[in-house]
Amino acid sequence: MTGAVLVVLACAAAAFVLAPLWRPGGLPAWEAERERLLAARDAAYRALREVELDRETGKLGDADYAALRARYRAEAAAVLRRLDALALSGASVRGRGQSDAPGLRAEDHPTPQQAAPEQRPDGASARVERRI
Amino acid sequence: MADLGRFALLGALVLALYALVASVAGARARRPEVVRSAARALVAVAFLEGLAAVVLWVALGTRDYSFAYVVSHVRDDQSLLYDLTSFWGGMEGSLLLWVLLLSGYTLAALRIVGRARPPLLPGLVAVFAGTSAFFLFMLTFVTPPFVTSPFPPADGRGMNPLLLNPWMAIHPPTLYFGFVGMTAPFAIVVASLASGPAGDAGVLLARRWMLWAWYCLSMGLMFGAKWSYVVLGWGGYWAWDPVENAALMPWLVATAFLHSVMIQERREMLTRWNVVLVILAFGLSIFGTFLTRSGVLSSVHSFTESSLGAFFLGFLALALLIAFGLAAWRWDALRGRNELDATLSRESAFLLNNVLFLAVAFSVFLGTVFPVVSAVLTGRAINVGPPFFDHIVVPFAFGILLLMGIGPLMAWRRASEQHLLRHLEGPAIAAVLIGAALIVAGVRAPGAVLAFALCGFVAATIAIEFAAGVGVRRAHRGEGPVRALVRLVAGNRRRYGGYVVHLGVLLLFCGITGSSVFATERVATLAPGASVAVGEYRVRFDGLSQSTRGDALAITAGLRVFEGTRDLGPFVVRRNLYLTGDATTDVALRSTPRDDLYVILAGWTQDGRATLRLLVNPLVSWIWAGGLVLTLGAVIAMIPERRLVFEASPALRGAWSAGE
Amino acid sequence: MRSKARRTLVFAAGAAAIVLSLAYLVYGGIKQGATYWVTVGELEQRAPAAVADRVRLGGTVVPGTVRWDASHRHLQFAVTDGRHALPVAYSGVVPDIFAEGRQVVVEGMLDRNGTFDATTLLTKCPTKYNPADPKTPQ
Repeated sequence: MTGAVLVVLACAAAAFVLAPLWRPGGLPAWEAERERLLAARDAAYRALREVELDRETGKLGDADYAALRARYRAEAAAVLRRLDALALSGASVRGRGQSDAPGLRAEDHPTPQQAAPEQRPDGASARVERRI
Repeated sequence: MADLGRFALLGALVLALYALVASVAGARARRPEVVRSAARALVAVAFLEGLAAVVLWVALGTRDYSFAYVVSHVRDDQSLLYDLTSFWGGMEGSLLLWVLLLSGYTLAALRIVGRARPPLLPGLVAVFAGTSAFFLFMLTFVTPPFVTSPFPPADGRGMNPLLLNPWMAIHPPTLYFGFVGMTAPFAIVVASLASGPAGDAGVLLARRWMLWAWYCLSMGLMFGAKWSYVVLGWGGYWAWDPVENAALMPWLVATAFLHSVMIQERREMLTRWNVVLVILAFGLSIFGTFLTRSGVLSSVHSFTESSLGAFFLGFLALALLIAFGLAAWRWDALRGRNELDATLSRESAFLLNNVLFLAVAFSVFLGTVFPVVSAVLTGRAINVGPPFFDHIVVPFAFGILLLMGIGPLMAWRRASEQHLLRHLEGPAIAAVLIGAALIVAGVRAPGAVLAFALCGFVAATIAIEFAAGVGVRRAHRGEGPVRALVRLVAGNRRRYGGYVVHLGVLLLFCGITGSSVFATERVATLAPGASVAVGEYRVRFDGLSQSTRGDALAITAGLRVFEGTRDLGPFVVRRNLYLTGDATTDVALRSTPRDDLYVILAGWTQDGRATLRLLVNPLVSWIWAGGLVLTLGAVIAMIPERRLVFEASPALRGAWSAGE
Repeated sequence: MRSKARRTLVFAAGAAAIVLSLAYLVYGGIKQGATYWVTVGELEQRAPAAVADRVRLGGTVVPGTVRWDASHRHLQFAVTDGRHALPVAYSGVVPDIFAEGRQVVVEGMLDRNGTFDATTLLTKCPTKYNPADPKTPQ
């Protein structure tokens, strides 16, 4: 009886494990550049918030505050510009309607915008061969 | 049924090896379907391990004495709960628990991280598969849990009665959640190093996993200390035992990491250092498992007793070799973008924090392996006991405590000196006042005065942080104080959660200082009716009685406690003598925020006299309270941040949003 | 950049200070806490010279040699490494799991009469899985 159970288990495991081999390809697309930029954007936002908080609680002097704030804002703006460019260039290739932020202007300070909700790339529509 | 268990483990081993090979091959050949197959193999491994665990649990629950493992951990008279928790009471079962938890982490990580960053999938599968394969190899060939005999005995031996305690039931799984949990950040980092150039080496992605593992280790250490205090009956909670140190070392490294990762997040520096920390944390948790399992350092003379140790060390060496090799390969690409801007900045404070924590970890490691190292170097095994550890750790602990107060007061990049000094004034005054008050109250131990004064200092800085944050919110939004506090913490969970954790650590420091420096001990042999004074208490011995409790003969000493003229009620201390020859102590413990009255029955005579060992340990309950506060802080910090929403120009509104 | 060079100097000095203090503490700690591991046989061999040397001795409690004086809390037993046996005297609280045939570790020194005066007595759990050694400090 135990033997029969073991045989069934082994077959089930083999089937489960080997099944994907008959459906080649289909790696979910992952845009390294976009992820990197999103992370950089979040980091810049977080830094700006912290600078504000530090200033308000008195840890940061006026001169330092002004310098850091300008710096982080410039960083954030640069990242947002690149994200925009990426979205525009990628939109036509991948047919994605998702653009990162509506109404983004390449100014020196970040404009009010909604953060893009995390979207899982749809593997079926993105047959892009990626190096793993 | 044993066959089912054995084959399940063997099958899991085969599948894990397949997963390891397939993930690497699939990645190199750029065939994602092969990698997916490897991932599925790990799912099957989890299922098979679950099956093996069910087999063992059923055997334990039904008291199937054909299993050797059941015989050594279960008895007919033992309660079912402890029968079931004896799953992790022995070597084989605990390794099975290890591998089961690893599968849990594997499935979670593959799903979460595999989707967040798909290129990491092959590396993740490979690391989890390789680690699982090692433990499954041990479970299949070296320490199999399903050893059976054709002539089952009528009754089992049962567990050592010291282990029949709720704290001991929960301590191993909690600790293992921590130990095993260190594999996840390790896998993420190794996968990142293997899969592609630079970036953050997966460190930022690994942060939350490390935070969780760190938290579990913290709780595991707490539970172990509580068990040691309440059950072992020697009056203390930490003995610098190799097994205790085994869990402390990865905890120290993880704490350092949780701080330095913040530097990497904000400044894109120290990536290489963080990679090293993650690898080190994993290595120490494997080493810790090895220390706890093989018992190699409990007795130097049994160093070569079991081959278990050799296998563990071999796996550890291989894993470290591969991980550090990958790190070396990517070393240049991981160079940080920035450098330290100023000597006085939060970055340098965190760096100092790291150095101090690693110095302590190194010292603990050195002290723990000293017998082996000295035997190799000088031919004679030298043991270093608690004085070694105390002598080194205490000064560093003071340094860490001081830093805990000053660090949060500094801003990133550059802290302005005058602001810093201004912020330090209040807390420094508080510290001096506390120190003076203690000296006036008669406290003479300089270390204790300094410790409490420093704790006061840090507490004041934390209180000011909260107050300042609340003040800002109220100024900008006119919120009531309670609401402002809640929104403040909710909106900056990582920072304020961290502060709450620090508060917990402060309570811990105070508790440790109080109980270490100001403990009072008396040993007395009393006739019925006689009393002994210890600390503020007077304990009267009322008489001995004898009874049977379960399968043990219990010798009970009835006591009554008085404080001055106040009768604090009856008090009972007991020694349980088991038929197997074991004995346990039921400690009489009366815990108040001020101190613990702790009594054990050390012996008795035929004529009814009892030998009692009495301790008054001040502030011990602060230690457990510290653990609770630490939990609160960790929970706050672990709640994930939503994607940041940046409200319009902060210069105009001067506020930050609660979108985090 | 002068300030950068100065910063490097500050960090280097700080690191050196920490390493040096660590080394100093480690050295002091070893001197304070170190005890040599010996077996019964080794101690007997070195016998006359070994008196008043603080050592750690591991062995098994010889059955039939345990004497416990409850009123003075004085324990006497013999410990063996399989070949040689040594009498041990110990005052203090005895761990719960101390029993004949169990493995013990005693710390103390050999006195002139050839008895080992133990100040610390540790008993090892008989099962392989050892959560923590029950301990009694002296």
